[in-house]
Amino acid sequence: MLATVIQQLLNAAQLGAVYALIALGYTMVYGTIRLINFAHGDIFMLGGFIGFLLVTLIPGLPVFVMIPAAMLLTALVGVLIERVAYRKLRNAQRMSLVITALGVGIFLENLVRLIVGPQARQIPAQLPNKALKFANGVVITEDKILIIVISLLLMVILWLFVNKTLIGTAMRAVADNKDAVQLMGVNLNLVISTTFAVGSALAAAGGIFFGQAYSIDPYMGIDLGWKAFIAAVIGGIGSIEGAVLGSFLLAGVEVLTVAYLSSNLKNGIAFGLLIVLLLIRPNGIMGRAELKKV
Amino acid sequence: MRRSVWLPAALFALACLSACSEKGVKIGVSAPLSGDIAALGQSTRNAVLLAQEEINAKGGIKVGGAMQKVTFIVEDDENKPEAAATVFQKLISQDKVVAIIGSQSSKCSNAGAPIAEAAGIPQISPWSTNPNVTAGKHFVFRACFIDPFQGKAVAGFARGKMKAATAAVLYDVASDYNKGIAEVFRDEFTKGGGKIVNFETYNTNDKDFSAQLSKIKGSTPDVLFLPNYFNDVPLQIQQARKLGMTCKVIGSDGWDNQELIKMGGKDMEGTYFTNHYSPDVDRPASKAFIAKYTKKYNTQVDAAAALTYDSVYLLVQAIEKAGKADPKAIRDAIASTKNFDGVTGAITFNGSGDPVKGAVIIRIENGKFVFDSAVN
Amino acid sequence: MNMGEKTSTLITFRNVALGTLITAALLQYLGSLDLFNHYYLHILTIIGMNIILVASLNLVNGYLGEFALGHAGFMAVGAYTAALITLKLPLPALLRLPLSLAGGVIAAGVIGYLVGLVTFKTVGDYLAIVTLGFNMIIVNAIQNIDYVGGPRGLTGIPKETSLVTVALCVVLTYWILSNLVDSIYGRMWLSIRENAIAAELIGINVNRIKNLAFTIAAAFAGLAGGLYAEYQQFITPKSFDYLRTTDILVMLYLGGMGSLSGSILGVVVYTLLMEILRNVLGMIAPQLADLRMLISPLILVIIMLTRQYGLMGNREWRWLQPKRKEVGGGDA
Repeated sequence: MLATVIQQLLNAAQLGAVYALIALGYTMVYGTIRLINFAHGDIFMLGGFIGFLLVTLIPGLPVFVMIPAAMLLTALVGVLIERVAYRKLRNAQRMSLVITALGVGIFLENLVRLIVGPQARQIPAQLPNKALKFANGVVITEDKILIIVISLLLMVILWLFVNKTLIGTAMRAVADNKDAVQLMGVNLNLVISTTFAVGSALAAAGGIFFGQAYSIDPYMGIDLGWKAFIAAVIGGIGSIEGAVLGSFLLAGVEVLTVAYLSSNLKNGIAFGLLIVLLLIRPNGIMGRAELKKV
Repeated sequence: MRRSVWLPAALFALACLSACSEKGVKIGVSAPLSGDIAALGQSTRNAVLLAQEEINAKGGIKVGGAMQKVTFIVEDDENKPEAAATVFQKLISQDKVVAIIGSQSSKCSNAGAPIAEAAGIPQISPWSTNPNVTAGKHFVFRACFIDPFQGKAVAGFARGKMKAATAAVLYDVASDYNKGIAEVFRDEFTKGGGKIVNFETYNTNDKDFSAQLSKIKGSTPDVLFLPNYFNDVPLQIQQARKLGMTCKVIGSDGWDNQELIKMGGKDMEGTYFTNHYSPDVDRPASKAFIAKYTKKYNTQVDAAAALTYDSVYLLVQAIEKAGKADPKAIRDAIASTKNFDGVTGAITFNGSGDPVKGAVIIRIENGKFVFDSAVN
Repeated sequence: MNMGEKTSTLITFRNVALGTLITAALLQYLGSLDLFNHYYLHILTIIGMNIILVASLNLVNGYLGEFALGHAGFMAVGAYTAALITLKLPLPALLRLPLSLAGGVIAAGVIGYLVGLVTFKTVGDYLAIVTLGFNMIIVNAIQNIDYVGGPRGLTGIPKETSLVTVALCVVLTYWILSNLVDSIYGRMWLSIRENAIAAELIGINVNRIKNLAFTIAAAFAGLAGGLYAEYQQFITPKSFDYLRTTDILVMLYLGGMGSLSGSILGVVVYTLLMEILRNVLGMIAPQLADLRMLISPLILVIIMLTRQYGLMGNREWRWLQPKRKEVGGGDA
């Protein structure tokens, strides 16, 4: 019994780690420019495909080179998208940005489909993936652990970046008051571009891990993107700790619903529970209630 | 605002005018070129274009006394019922096709069928296995067997040759194909004396099945039935094996695609699935088609391509038999088809839109699809 | 002295409505004689149904200023209710459509009301998640009810909807919505949007009024759903997931929030764009048809970059503007 519980918790942890890598990008961009970047799930997909292409076109590329390279390239794409599609609308009403983001997402999906093809691909196994068997019947594969560990590591690095570096502080300041920050002499464009770059890089890492453990296809960003968005909001949108927490919570609810309730009703029950959670904590788990001046 | 309406309207009119001026026999094709089964859409288009090339190279279709070239108008139904309805409507009313091949997924065929039926245009779906598509209709046909037949075949094989006493099923609850076969399997397996120990589901696009598989592992079934598509199955089997499950695995015709082997690799060895045909059975029609297709497209044939190819030639044969490019006559000719020698087997229609067709069991051996046995 | 309204008063709501109905009847009649392309009829019918969907969501996302993401769920409720009524209840042919649509509207409205009760405990983007959650719950629930076919969907629904019926429903919808928007309720919604706290201070029961908009929007989504079910004759839960909601959102924001005229324009432009691309690209070369899904989002992005507030912003066409009562010179 205990073995199954541990097994399921580990399943949830891995799923949660992937959600978290995507959710962090959502939450960071939202925190700074209040945009729900619906194209973010597709950046995640793009990152995975860039990794896939790197490995296919340059045979023998070691994984420690491929992952940072793909993260860098994806970060550049993220910055480019912000520059071209979002910057002009920065002071416009939010909804225009949302629709633009949706449009960019659809564009990316179909671009990848036309260039690489619609089939699902797996990134050839580069991470060690032996199955480790434990005494009480619990079985984990090495890559699962690796994914959880590396994801947590990336989250810690992000936290340090946002809280301990100068530019991280600038990001937090922009999240607080975009206009005042400019009066302080901060280059707003630079900060926002950095936000997009970092968020995209994280999503790319998520995409590559996902492509290793599972598979990637041009449309995978839609479903996972929405799930990550939900996770980010549950955790309190704008909060990094919240995004991580929300992701693991969502994954946990999904996995445990399948394991102990009914797999048919997974979506229904999982979202039901999350709605209840939002009713109890209307600003998400770690979200701060925003003070509204009348 | 007025300006922005005139230009598109003019373009629209222009487009419509030119569409009406093509000669020859026009056949519409509704394929999922974009969307979640775009890979199948690609196969569909490949098969159609290959057939079009072959037919026109011979001079065309013999309609009445004269040879007429054939044009296939391939439209994207995005694997969405609403888009399929629009595509069917466009093909019928705008392009004035004499017949439609499509759609692939049952939900799209279901959306297009009422339109084809009302307009009296014959429709052949290559791949839709939901019984509802043809039920109660005169003009709608399919080139494949239906879910109830396939589910029974799988269950019979599992109980029989695989000697399985217990079975677990993992299927996509949000997809009609998977759920349909899963339920028939459950009923037939139980009728045959077996016991279903797990009946688990997942949602389309899920990639992590560890939760469900961990549950299934706990009940140690003899066989695991995965009536899912070729992009989900390798992941499911891989994850099952990694969890330490060693039971036998069996699947259905959604497996038929080389991507299955590409992604699944060694984990796919020794698994079985039901299919419409087997490439290594000695059927000249199959071998010729496979050779031509792989040469032209540098990729393997899958069920969608093979069934589409058969649908095309089924239609062409009917047109030639009818002697005229008249939808009603074509429909009658299709309905009276007996023993059409297709790539995917012999097709006969016996008064309904569903063909009398056998299935085969395929075994995966050394990374290849190998014929195991036939089911009638 | 009043400014003489010399400009033509031909374009009034009543006349536009009548014009629409007459045109619809004419086109449908021509279609039945095969003198008018059924494909165009089909496009017009789809446009009509989408107008109802988008205009009703405009109430919540535009006038009320919320960000609701679950509209397709209410459409599903309406569609399935209407379908079940026509399929399972023995009704005389003439009553089938009105009764089933009424059923769809009521069912969707009730669900909308209940969802609203829960939803408006949250605000802003959290509200978005809650409404999205309900959309997913509704879809998941339908998938598990075998009586309505589950994921296989419901087939064999009789075709009761036609261009004329859709046109009638569109006119009805706009009559109700434009009157609502010009009424005190419209004022209350706008004031809540601009400053909810101030609205509360002047005595508006914010939650009740918000829920009113939500319920009405849901009811109209149900109407559209019923029409859709009895047009396509086949419905499946996947047609009502978040992808459908996204489509509705795109058309809404394209047209302009807070503008009922914009809702019409957004739907028309978006639908025509997709179909024109399909026709024009296919005419040039079959391979180019693939580019349709690449070009359309690009055009969308370009439009949003150039017309930030949507095509109509929050302006209205003359015939949808509130009538101005002329103040005579008599009051002191």
